[in-house]
Amino acid sequence: MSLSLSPNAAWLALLVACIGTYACRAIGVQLSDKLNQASEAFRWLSAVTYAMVAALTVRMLLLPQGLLASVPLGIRCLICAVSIGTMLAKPTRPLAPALLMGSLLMVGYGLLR
Amino acid sequence: MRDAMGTPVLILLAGMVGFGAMGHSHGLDALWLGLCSVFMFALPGQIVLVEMLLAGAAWWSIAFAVVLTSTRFVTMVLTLFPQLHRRSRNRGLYLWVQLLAMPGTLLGYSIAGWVPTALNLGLVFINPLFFLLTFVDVRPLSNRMAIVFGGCLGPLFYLLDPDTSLLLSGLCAGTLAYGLDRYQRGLPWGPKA
Repeated sequence: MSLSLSPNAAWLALLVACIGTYACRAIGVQLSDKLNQASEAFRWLSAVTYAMVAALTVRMLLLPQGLLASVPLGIRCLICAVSIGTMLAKPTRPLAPALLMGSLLMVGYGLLR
Repeated sequence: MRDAMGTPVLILLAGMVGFGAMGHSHGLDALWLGLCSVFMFALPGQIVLVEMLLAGAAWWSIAFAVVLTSTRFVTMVLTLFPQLHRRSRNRGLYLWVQLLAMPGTLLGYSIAGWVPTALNLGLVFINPLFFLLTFVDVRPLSNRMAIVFGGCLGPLFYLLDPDTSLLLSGLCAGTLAYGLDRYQRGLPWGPKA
């Protein structure tokens, strides 16, 4: 693998990540009878998680590493805006058409340039 | 059953295909990617894992960040579990969808290998776009604020220090959003309102 980390570290990270992911699912199952879902701890955790995924997503779109970096910032933003607009166009806010639209627009840009 | 076999499965598989393509574009191992998809079966966590590995973050910080993204499962299962007992469950369906994650990933990986760059662009774009679109429908104010703050701090922290940026921006932005939400709910500071 062409990573700055050794392949062993990558497999170790994967193992721990899998364990951690399932641990969270298992905890949810164990607590299903007992816990108040609206508890403050979960609110905070939820906020941190959304913040992290948002940080990652925006970073991937504004400061891409790899293939997307070859697309100008303005084009990336425009395609995202059109995709969001596609989603908001209907009251049900369907995700699939917007996802398809954005992907196709990106492919279209790639073909045209 | 029919509801599940439609759009949700397709979107999920599209995400896995995009994940495979993204992994290929970064030169990652196909088997590793496939196993990642089928055993984790959690796209945000998978992408956090890959991005932090590429940024050269320490394994324990990667694990911590991935577990953070998976904490949503705790509340998700809490909400879902009571409902599952009341309806008939098709265990085979759940297994099928999770198992499909691996061929989906490998499909994305191999497609990325021989299609023109234009198609690769589209495939690699699927996952960030997917996450962006899921933000549109988020309801609770604390989470909406978290998304905005996280989106602002993320690139900033990344420019300062890529390794720790994800965790730090998440913790800072999320805590800020939680704090502001708590303030506007009129709750006092300190433990247990």
